[in-house]
Amino acid sequence: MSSNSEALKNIKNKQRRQKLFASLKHEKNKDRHTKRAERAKEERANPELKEERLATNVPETIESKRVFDETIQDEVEGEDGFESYFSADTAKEPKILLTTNANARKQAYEFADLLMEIFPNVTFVKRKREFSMKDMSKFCINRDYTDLIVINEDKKNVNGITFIHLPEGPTFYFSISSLVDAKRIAGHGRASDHIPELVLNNFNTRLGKTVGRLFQSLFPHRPEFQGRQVVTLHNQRDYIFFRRHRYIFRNEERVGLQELGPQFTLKLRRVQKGIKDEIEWEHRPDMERDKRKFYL
Amino acid sequence: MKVLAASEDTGSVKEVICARGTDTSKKDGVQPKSVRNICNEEGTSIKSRVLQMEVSGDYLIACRLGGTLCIYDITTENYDLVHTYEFDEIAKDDKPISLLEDKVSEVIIVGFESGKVFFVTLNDGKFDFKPIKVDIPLKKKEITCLTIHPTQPGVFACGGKENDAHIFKLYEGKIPLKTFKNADKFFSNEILFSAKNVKNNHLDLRSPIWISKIQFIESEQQPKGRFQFITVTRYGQLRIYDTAHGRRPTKDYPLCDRPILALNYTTPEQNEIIVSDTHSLVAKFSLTEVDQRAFKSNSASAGRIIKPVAKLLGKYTGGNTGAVFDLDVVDDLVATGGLDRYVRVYELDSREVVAKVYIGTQINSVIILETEEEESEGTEYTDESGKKRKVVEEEEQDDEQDEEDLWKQLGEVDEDKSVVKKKRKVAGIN
Repeated sequence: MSSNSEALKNIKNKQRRQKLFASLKHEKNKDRHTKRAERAKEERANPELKEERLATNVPETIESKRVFDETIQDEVEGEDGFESYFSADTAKEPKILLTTNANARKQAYEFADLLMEIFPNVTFVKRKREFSMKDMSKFCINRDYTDLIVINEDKKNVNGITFIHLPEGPTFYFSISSLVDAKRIAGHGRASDHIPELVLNNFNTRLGKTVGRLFQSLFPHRPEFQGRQVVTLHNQRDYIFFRRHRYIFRNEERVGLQELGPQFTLKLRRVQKGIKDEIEWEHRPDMERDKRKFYL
Repeated sequence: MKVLAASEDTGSVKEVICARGTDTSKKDGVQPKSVRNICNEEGTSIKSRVLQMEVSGDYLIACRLGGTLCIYDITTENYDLVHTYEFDEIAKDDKPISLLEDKVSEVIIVGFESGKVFFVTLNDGKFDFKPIKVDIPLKKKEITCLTIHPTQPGVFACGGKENDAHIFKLYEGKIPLKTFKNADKFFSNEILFSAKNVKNNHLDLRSPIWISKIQFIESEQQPKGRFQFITVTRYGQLRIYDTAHGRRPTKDYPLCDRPILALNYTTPEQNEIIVSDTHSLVAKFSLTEVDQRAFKSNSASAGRIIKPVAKLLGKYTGGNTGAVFDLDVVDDLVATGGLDRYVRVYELDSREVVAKVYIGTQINSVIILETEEEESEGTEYTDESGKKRKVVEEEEQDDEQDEEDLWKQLGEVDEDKSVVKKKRKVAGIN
């Protein structure tokens, strides 16, 4: 290859060079495809070969080269604010109050509409300017709500969401991006109001486990399987992807998936103890300097 | 070194024994010799978590949420529980805010948010007296901090939310043991000093009061009846008071924009302090050196405002991401613990991390028990279940091999293939 590229460099005519380069590239591709086809044929005849290849040829990714984090292998100790949801004797059904920032525009209400469909047992209240988040939390505690969700809209864009677990916190703030409405998803289905199943992927570190517990505590712990609906929160490289699907068992081996939407991406910005009290963790731009360090 | 950290999530205390250079965040770093749970009697949970800890003689004194005081013996291996005191008349949501010791009369003093102060005598390990309850002699009882004068026992200072600093005297000299049998008429309620708020700002707005920590400045030449003390506030200010100079603070410096949580002196001369805020700041400030023009702001009505600020002597970072709740300074070391579940030990002057240990629970209080090094270093990490962390050396060797190959390949490139440049013909000259 190096001799080829040397030769290419010596051709002064750009068109001739391009032509030659294209033909070289084509040759290489063709070669690759034939090799693949051959390999596939061999592997079809002998499936062990494929297993062997997959076992030995593991590509290196950012995830696999992740910086060592001692909190991943440690078990969760003690209790936190979510204990009342998880322990059997005090188990409380989630009851959620949803609101927006003050003076919110249409987009915030539309997003609130989407969330109303996703979370069971949720009430929407229009935000009043005179009440702060702490005030609202107090009112909610008096009315036995377990979570307060506040949507943040800025310049006609939904850009953030706050989750306050009641009565004792913690408080989470996420930024929202890549919001895709169900209508724009090809072949999307209509969601029913069954309690969905929940899939939480890759919430590994101690902080990740706390975030995972937050999402768990927003859904009642008894999915209605006849609805065949799944909410997925998939964490990859500290971005949390929200997806919603309906599944169907076509036969013993094949499962069909239909996306219900919406899709959006969350990124954790801040975790606070209590109701917006001391900072437990806050995202700083310099945390992204090391591409292989992840916090969730 | 040996560090104790009160864990919030479980209600127990963690004992960390580690050498200098310990870092649990590195896979092949030095691991702590041991991290174990102590003080976890049956029934301890987040509801009875340890909020304040102190070492007095051979005893570890832990003040728990819910109004109990537990005494542990630190000479025993497992820190056996020796005695538990129950405080009566404590409301459910009342929190202990300070745990003090009167070294003259060997009495433990516990202050509560509601302004109740309890006196407890260990009586040389007999634990045969009940705690005495005294109310602070202020009209507004809600306080957030309480401290005792280091050389004049019986003199206390306190402050709170919209409750400015006060100095009051509850007794003089030593508390005799018989007081614990009958405390009638022993405690006085004399207020020695009550502070006045700073002047209104340039907009004629009153500055709010919320003292988070208070400390006396100890000095030998002080005449009797004159006190000097410092306060830090939830509005990020540091204030220095001198009772000989009137009721207002003599100095008022802004330190940071966020509430200050912890305060400690770093030198025996008490001219430097270390503070932490609700974000991730842990910093050392000087009380004597001042940056005259460090705070600058503009106002339409008052023009340019320039204020002096206590000199920042350095920040302690070390990858801290959460609020630090407690600092402990011993000799040249400072230990911090807070919401990010790490115990970090720094060197005071160089501000370098000496040890960083993940303990898995949020920390309310830290104490350095021993600072000296113990024999060997670089022990292999063994946790409770006996798992061992392997040091990956093979991979490193592989990397070196690969690099060598690469250099060899590079050397093989022909060097005689240098490009011969044709002379360019310049039109127009020939």
